[in-house]
Amino acid sequence: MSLLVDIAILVIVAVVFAYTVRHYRFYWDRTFGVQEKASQSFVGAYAPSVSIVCPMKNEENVAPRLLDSLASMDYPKDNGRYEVIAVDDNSVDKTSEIVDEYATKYPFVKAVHRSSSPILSKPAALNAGLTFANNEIVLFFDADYIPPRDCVKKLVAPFTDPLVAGVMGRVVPVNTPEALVCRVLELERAAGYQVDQQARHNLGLIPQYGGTVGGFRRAFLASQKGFDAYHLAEDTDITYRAFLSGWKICYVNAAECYEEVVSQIHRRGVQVRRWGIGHNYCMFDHWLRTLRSPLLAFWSKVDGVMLLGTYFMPFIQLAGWILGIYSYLFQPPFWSPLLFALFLTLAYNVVGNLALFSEIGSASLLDRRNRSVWLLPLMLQIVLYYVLIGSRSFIDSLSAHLTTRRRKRKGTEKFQESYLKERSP
Amino acid sequence: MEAPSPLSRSSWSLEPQRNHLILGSCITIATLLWLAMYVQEYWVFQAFLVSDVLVFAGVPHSVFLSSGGYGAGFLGAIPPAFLIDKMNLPRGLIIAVVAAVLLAMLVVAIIPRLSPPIKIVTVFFLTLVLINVAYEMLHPEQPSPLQIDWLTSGIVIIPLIALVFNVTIFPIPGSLSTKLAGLLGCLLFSVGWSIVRFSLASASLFYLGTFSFMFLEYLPGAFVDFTYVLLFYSLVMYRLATWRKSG
Repeated sequence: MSLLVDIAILVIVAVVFAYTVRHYRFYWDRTFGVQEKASQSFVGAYAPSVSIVCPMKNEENVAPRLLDSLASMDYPKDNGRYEVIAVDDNSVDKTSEIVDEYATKYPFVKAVHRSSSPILSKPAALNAGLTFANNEIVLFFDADYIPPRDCVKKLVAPFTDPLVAGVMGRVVPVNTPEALVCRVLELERAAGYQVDQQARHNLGLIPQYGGTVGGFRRAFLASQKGFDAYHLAEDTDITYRAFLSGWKICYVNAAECYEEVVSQIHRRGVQVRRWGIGHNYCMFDHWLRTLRSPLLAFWSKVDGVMLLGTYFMPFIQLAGWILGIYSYLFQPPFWSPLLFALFLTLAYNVVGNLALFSEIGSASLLDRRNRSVWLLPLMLQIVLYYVLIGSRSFIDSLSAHLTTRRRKRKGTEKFQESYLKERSP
Repeated sequence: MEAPSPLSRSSWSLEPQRNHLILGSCITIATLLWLAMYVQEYWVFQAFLVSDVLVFAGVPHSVFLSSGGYGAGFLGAIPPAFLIDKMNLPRGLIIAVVAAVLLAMLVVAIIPRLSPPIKIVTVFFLTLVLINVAYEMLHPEQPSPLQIDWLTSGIVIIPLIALVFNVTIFPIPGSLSTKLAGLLGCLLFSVGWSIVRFSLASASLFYLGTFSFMFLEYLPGAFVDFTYVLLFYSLVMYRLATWRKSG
């Protein structure tokens, strides 16, 4: 028992150390390195035909704002080169009427209503929208996002590279003065996009498609039979499917899109738990394929597996704390000189955790949001909260994966094929 | 100054201050070497200060210092030891404390106006009190001498702070004096906190028992260290960001 605990602690410390190195690498590259600009010199010169799919479920408060932004987008709209597909996903409020109203008002807006679909999920709504998309590139925006006028032009520029299957833009919270939670989430978002995603793009690793403010070539989505309708993290899933088929995804840091973040911590907890479960499903599905893929370079494989393990890490951290306390209270470590154990524990807490926080510091500096850095210590509470939520989501996803998910998945694949066949125009 | 446009802020990066980075690396190495050479003296210095705090707190104790250890170097250092006996609390007082804690937990649980985080934190600390009482009943024996060593002195955090500042602060363009002041401030705070932590844990051993000592010695070590390093980091980053803006 004692030996097992010691080995487990050593493994956990090694894993945390690997993530620490990864975060410092990203921090250093984004803060001091040369930045890859994702073909932004082609902005305006390259304008392929674009379909924009917007899933909306009970979004009467925000739907008009998004549709207005998309209607006034600075993009050529002649000859059907620009179309907006607003998918009303079984809404019970006025979303359906709003969507119809915009479809009547603008010739490039199409209204799609899902009223009695057997699968009620966002990816199913996206697939429904996809069946009506006719253009070369398909972009996706959630209803509570506010794309600026040049967003689409910037997002499509990387498609000049024929190997690019998808793009992802930067998400910037817009309601930060609303609550302290929003301000803290702004820091988290800044680190995630300004530093983490951009560094992965710079280093040729695996930038992640985040489910909104981004999109794909329609041909690629067709080859993948759309999104997995039962997946809680269809965005991560499609990211890995792209890389594992030899395509690339580009992160476009200049394509900023504004969003309203949640203002209550428990709602954030619900979000993180859902993402965590979905992300862990992706880990179960793709980690071995990522390691074995002949199409990925060595460091892309390493980063790919570590990215898949993002929501496994809270569980690892919690296990490390529990085992550390157990080891401290009930047994001496087998490597005897206590110095080593102490060093690892301290390094794990200070250097390891600060790697993540240094990304936030760097993002604030690069965005010139000086006063935001003051809120950094508050992130500590959020991180502790995520450890608990993330651990729970890992346990939930593992049990669901081992019991019901595999059976459901087979059914989904069959359904997906027949559904897309039936709905294709 | 104008807010940066999305295109410019998406692609700019900073020019690392290599000379500051080299200086930071030298400071980290020097700190490591200094500690390796003078760890014995550092422990003795800490032991004197902890002893003063314990006298102030009314905790009877004896300190054992090794006379031959000065300059003993990295692994040959002999840790000072404190001998502290636990105070024997009357059984009636223990029963009264347990009853009060249980009552408090009940009250906290049924007050609807208390927010969940307050309830969780209160119940957590009250539970610790109960565990402490139970632990004392199971292990009434007196503790072995407490050593100010690698584990308890908080000495390992010192080179780690230097390393963290070296990697994350020193390469950022900005005033060297701000960086050095931040590093020095964080190191001094670390030394001060290590003394407070060990004194607090030792005093709790005398007044509350073995479990409270173990709890105060271990958990604050892991979490508080990170918290103050983060505070100093954000303070220095703010100063450096302001320096860039005005510069």
